Amino acid sequence: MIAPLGRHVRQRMAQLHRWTGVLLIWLLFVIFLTGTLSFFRQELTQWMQPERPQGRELAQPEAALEHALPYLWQHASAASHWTIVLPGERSGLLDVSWRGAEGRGQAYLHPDTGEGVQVRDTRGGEFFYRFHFQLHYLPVLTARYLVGIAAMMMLLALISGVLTHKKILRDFFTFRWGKGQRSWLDAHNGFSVLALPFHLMITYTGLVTLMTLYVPWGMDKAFPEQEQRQQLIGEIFAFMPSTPSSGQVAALTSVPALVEQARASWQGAHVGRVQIAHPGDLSAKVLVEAQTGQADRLGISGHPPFMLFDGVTGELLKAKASRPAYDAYGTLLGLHLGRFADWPGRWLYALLGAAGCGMLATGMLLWTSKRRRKPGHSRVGLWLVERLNVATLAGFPVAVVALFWLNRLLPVEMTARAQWEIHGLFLVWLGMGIHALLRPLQSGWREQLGLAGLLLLGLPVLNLLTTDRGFPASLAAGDGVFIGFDLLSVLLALLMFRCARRRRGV
Amino acid sequence: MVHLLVLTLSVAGFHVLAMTTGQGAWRHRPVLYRLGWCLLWGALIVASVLWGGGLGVTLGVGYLSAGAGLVFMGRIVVKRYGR
Repeated sequence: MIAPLGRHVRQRMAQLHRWTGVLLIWLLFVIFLTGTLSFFRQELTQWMQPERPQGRELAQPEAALEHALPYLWQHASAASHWTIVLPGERSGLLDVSWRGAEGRGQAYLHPDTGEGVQVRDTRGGEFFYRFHFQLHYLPVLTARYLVGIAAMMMLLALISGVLTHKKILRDFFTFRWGKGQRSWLDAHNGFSVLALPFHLMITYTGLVTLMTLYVPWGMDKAFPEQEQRQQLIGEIFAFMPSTPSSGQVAALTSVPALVEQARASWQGAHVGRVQIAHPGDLSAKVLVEAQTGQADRLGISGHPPFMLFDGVTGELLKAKASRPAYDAYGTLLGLHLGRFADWPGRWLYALLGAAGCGMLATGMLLWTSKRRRKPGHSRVGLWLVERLNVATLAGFPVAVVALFWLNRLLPVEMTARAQWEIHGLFLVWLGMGIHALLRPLQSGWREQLGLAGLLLLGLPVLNLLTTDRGFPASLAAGDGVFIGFDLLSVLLALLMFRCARRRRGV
Repeated sequence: MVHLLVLTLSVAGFHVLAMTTGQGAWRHRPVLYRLGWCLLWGALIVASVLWGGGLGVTLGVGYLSAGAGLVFMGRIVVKRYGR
């Protein structure tokens, strides 16, 4: 039963906080968890493709162009578009791809030798990144609206939560251990208040990221025609203009020279991506974009600078414009993505993201803990919420770890392997949901958290047995990604076992 | 090193504040209370000076949260196991 509206503002805010929180909290939890993992998108891809060489800081990543361009001329000279992603500290491979009338292709090359490197088919960390804002199996627009509604609920819950909290400073460091509902309240306040600036920032900037989708009317009014909107996007974002081929042969200008020109105007910042349209044609264009993660030279904007050149004459056609509104948007986007951060900064982001997961989880446990004591509360509703809690708070982490297991266990030559890794995640999550419905509540918690712990503990062993980059080899090679992954797996396994042991009387 | 310095200042600031705002001690130690706030502002200023405005404020506020979290967890652990 829904309680009548309170008489005082604080009571009403508390009610708003409860209901905005509870309605989409399970969705918010998976969005937060996958968002947290996304801060290590490249590192997860590196772990999930152990065939990749170790990432390292290259003095001149642009030198890899000397391998990329001959490869593309040799293998994709008929393609209308080439894309070259240069290697970097977080990705050890030169990534070349192409598309055209004859289809698409992609290859990974070793940046030192230019030789092709075969990697297993997986979405890697990209899956978590995409899932974070467009979910999976749903039409993209529907999913983005759903995520936007959840983010708006979260923002309301945060603001109403602050207004509800009477003694926000006095209770700053209060934690009452072993007091049941009070302990959950203190834990919820701890996770919420301590990282409140982060929670507010990440939720607000998340909404801003897709603001033209959620609040399109301003854009519609200013640019009523679809062509105008496309022109605007072409003007301000690093998009290659979709001009047709002229059909006249012309030599492609020196791409390394254009790259050097771009670097010179970006205070020496490294180039991340080069796109070439219609190579070898009179209408050729070259788009050069800076690498993200160079805050010392480029600031924190989520829109790295870019330059568009004529591919025959080398004339500069367009560069990133600096306008207050666009720069503000870029800064907010940059704050959300956190790509400017170096590795301690990324860990900070991940830690605060984990605090967000903790805030949501303790909020749900507090909600059920309170209602269990209320005699008039709907038993069916409470039963359902408790099961959804188990399936999401324990079941989804199990499914995520299952994805990593599948990455190592599925045959490398399997057809649609990347898709089956993801199907596997959802099948395991479905299994956890069924398990949560069938088992008594406490057993459900204990078994699912225990399973998560076992799977996490097994990951370093599985990695050792199935690849040549197990812990001893990684330690010897100083491979931070693999060492970190193994250590974190063990730490999280211990946390899961600890939680499984503590799930009594919740 | 800057990361470590900012985190240390944040932890120190929140630790001092926690000492003054604990049960029954609310504002009873004004010097420590002011010192705590000074340390927290110090963390933000160091971050802003050494990393520059935008990045400094962003990471500085992040480290303030991390510092508060560490003090919070530390106090729980000490309270639970330290006696």
